[in-house]
Amino acid sequence: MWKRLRLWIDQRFETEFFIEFLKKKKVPYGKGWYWYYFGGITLFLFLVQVLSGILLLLYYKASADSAYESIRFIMSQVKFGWLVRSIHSWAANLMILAAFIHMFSVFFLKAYRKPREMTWVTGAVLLLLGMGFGFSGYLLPWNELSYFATKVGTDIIGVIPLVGKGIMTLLRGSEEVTGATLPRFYGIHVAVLPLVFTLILAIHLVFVQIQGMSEPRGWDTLPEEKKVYIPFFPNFILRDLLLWLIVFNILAVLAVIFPWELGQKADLFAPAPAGIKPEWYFIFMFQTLKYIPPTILFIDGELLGIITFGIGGLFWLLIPFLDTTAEGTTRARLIKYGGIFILAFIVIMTIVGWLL
Amino acid sequence: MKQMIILVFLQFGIFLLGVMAQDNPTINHCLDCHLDLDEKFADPAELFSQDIHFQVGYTCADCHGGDPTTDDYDEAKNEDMGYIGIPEQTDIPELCGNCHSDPSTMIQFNPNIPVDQTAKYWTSQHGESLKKGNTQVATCTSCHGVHGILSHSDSRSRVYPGNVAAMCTECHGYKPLMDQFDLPIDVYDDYAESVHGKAVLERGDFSAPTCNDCHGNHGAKPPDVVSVKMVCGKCHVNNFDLFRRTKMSQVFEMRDLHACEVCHNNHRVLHPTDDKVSVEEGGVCIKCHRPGDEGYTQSQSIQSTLVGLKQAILQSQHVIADAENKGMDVTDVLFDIQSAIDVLIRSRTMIHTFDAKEVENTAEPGMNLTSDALRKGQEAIVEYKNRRIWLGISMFFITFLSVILYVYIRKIESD
Repeated sequence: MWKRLRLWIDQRFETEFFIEFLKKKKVPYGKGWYWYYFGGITLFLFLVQVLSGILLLLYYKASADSAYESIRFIMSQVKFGWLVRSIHSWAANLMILAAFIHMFSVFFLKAYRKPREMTWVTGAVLLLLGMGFGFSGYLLPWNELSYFATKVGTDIIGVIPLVGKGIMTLLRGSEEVTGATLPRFYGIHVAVLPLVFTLILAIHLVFVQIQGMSEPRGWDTLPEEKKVYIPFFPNFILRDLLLWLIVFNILAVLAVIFPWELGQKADLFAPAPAGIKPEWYFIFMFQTLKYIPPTILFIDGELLGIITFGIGGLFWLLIPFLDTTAEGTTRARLIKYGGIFILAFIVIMTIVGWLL
Repeated sequence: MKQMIILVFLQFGIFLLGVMAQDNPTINHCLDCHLDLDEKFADPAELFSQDIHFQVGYTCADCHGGDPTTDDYDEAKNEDMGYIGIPEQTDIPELCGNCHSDPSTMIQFNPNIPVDQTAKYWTSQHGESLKKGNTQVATCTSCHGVHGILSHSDSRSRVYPGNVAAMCTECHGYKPLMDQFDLPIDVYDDYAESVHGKAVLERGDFSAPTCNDCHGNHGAKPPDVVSVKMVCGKCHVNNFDLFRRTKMSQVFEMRDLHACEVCHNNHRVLHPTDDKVSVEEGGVCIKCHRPGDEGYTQSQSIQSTLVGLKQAILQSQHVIADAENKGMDVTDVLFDIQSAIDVLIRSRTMIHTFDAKEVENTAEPGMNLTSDALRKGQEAIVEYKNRRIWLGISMFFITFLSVILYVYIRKIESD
């Protein structure tokens, strides 16, 4: 029966080629093999986001009058609505975390080197888009915290020279964060970002499939018989699946034991409550901007901070084109230490921002 | 040349007068002299410069008579010019009334200002005593002050709502004086303890009454038996409306009982509790009712209904709080509980019908709301437990699947 079905499909779509490709594809199995799985985990969490997001779309209403109420309805009246919303919120955060781990593991394994420069670039863009998902989705419940965090976040965008004000007004739909902002963020969250993200994700995955997994550092000098590989199909896929199950278990525990709170409905006329913070993955930038003096050498401190982050981000994106020398050279070492410094900076500033 | 010099001085004098007239258009030389004298004479002048009458152009002579335009002592205090010195206590109401009872005068300052103060005063307990020659009673100046009279809306004024109780207590808390009239002196203490006193004196909430709101201000006197309920009913409209339709209202009048005051007290109106409608110790119903009579039974039923609803609300609140602490969304139920609390307030109001059936009917929707809230709260707690049970079951299956997968991977990789 199974053979007949495969034959039926193969006669029409010539799938044998694809299956043969998967069978022949091998994944290096050396030191630090476990880091290879964070890309798959990020992908899995993105799929969870798509599925849970579609379910939330069935009941969510994107207007200032009804957004908060519709989420409350989802959480209290819709069967398993509380679970879907909680999973969506937790998976969003875990996805960003997995993407960060994936990115830094690729960085420290130097897997971005030739010929995988564009895989790195598309991956970095995907992380940015993922953070964009987080920023746009944060406002959608229209609660007190999300309203003021969005206000602070878009204020920061407004500081960017020349285009900042324009982008801020375009995002907000007016000078301030109002009811007009919500449909815009909703449109970005459920239409613009998914379209762009899916497209770039597809390119990223095609690159990975075409070029295969990067071999661990030091393998280029290793004799062939000492290199260990595992088949991509089924071994690597099954290992991926095992991890996805474990992550799904963790996600279920978090969603049930620590359900995502809705908070108080946003009141546009109320003063900002104390302790307004953005999502954790923006905290390192937010906290840094707080420490920068108002002016540095006649330049606006906040502006200088944003420009520094912008230039830093650009360097980070172009790392594969900067780190082209052999391992052990001064430039390669500098880039490695630079990466360690950036990781330490992000971790420390996030913890400080979270605690203060 | 000499005429020219005189003319220039005259012009200068007229100019100076003009400048002075811009500050105070009325000439009042009384102040010039009094301010230079010792405290006894200077203080009234000092106070008068703050007085509302001075601000609108009145002079000392408008009350005391005399000629304020001259700085000559004898001419200023010339009796032929109407100088009367310190007015007699008995003359004060009419003296103030000269202007305050004259609509054509008062309209210049405020078209809506009442002009019946003096007429009302003569109907007051104070006025009636004064008519009989008793000068130990309040007149206009006793309450408003003498030379430093301020608008009643000025918080420094003696008759500002927040200051009225203290001002009345100057006399009504003075034992030697009150003993003459056989009046108590603990009124202020009682009032300060009352819900009204706490609102006015502690929270500055002037929607609550102070002395003059119940007794009248210029026509102040104790409300009589019939008018007590009218007085309280000014604010407590629903309670008054319910009470006046009851048989109890008529019985109270027949028995010379002061309506609201019988249960709530007059000055010491404390926050009412459900225990007040009780035949137990501390209840007000047993003041009149005895076991076996209808009022006694009604009181028992009313209290049972109110306490029942209150306990049902507390019970549902407890369960909902428990569900909330467990992270369950019970916001809708909180609205139901708030509605039940509103019903409890309405039911308490219905006490004034003295009809247990009416109270029970009013409380019924509240009982339904609380039982619904209780059910939803209990369901939320069950749901909370179920979520954990289902989490455990699904975790078991996912873990089981993971173990099988792990074993299978090990198997194919060892082959």
